[in-house]
Amino acid sequence: MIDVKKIAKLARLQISADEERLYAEQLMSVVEHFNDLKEVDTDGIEPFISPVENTRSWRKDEVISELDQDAALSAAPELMGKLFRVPPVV
Amino acid sequence: MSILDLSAIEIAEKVSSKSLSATEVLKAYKDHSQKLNTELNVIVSFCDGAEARAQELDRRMASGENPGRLAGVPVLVKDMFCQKSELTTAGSKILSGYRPPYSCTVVERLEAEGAIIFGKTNQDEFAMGSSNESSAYGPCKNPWNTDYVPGGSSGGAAAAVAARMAPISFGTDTGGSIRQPASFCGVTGAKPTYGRVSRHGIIAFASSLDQAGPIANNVSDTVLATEIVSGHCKYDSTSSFKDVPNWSKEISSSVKGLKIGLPKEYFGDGLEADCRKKIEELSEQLKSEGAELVEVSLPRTKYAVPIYYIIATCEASSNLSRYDGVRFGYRANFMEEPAGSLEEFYSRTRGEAFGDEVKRRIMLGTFALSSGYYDAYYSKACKVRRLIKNDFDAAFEKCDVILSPVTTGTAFKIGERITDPLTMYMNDVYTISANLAGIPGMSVPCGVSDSGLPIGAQLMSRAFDEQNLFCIAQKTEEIAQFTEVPSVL
Repeated sequence: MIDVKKIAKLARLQISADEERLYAEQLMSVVEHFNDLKEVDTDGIEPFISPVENTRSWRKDEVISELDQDAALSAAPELMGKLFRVPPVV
Repeated sequence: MSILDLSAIEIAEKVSSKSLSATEVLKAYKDHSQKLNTELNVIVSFCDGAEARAQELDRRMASGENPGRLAGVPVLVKDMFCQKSELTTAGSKILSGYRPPYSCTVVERLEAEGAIIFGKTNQDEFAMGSSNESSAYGPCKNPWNTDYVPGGSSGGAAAAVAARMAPISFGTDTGGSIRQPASFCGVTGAKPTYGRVSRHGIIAFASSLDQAGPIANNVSDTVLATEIVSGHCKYDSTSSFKDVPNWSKEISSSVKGLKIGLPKEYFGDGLEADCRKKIEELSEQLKSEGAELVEVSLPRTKYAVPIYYIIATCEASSNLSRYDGVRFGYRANFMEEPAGSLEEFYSRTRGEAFGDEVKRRIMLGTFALSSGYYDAYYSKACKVRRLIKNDFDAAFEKCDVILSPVTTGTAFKIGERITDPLTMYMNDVYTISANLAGIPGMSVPCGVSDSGLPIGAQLMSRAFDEQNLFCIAQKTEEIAQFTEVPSVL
């Protein structure tokens, strides 16, 4: 069984009791399908994390001017001066 | 001949030679798009600055500047592509009203060649879906039959080109999201090799799988658009330094001596008879044009769907953690009912603004990465992913290009699969593997089913060998003579 309540908490998702029931059922059927992978022998196989393997893209460590502060703040839901504003949470 | 019937290359020629202005081309496409959009729900926002950019291009040309290879070509991009000051929302409520302070590399490169991006197309929310039904803007309709889905997740991008709302659109493909809707809508779509096209500024879904690519009404436009956006970008460390060939000049439709592999696992019982017949006919015609057909095997195909849904959801659960209601996008209303904790602040915002499918996938990924399950799911999936790649490497020792169906059948009805995630996920079985292996893939229309819906052929090649892919695509287009048009036109 998947503890949907716990997973939702870890994922920072508030879900309703109805959603919890629905997701529990749907996630189980998908995870059962995940278990098909158990039958594959992967002893000694290196995980394939990304199609771009063994490459490093370096750049010079230098300051470049990209977005100014106003642009970076332009999409904020709420501002106070030049700061992101959030409601009190404690 | 109407402007709407011109290819992108023809439009660029006419604008360059000043027999059409960028402004009048834009007006023709925008008027047509607005007329059809009520019924199809293809475009979720029109760009505020498109007319000004078209006028600017016309002015620059009047002063003798070279307008570029896509001079005045109206382009629509999926709602995933950040474009400076224009709405970009990934089909999600959580990004409602978001106007990025910068443009993605794909948009910059298109604009540098004179393209006029004039709108954002509908999609599954955060590209999570195969039917465009998970969009916060409601479903997009298939122009061939509006009871049917256009496919997904780049459903709007494919439907737009099919309905002549733009000669070129751009989508993203994480597990088939360009190729499958292209197939469902009877248009051509390309997912280049992973690393060919910069992901900088494209809203991330699953970073080791995501790749952007064009959708168009013909192979030549698709090839030119791919060429323009390809090549290293300093803002994406996974983008390749490999030279980009001059495909638009170099591809031919000669398939003489090319070996075409038919993967036996892709022609199993699940494949609808219409699709099987069309692909088999096409392969025989390619053979009579001088290609050699060989049977290949991709024995781990049946594991592609579980691998994909583990890896993609794990990566998504991490990528989507940035949507927290602090710096951009949606924030829940805390005026009347303040949050009791920072965690509640995040959770309520995210719970309210993410749709069902996105929540489901974030939770799947969170589960697969959670303590005690990492090795059994994520790590195991990455290992079997290597075996999938090894299967392709072995197949490409016997052939140059793989030909297969794109999907098991033609477009399905709106609502038909939305309540059953697993059936929906199985829809991607033929397209997912190319993303897992990082190889390029294409969908080219090759016929229409008895029920009047388009059928696409999928082509896949070795990583960075788009050349052979495009040559066979060109020949496929010649053979198929796909001239049918959708019912909305």
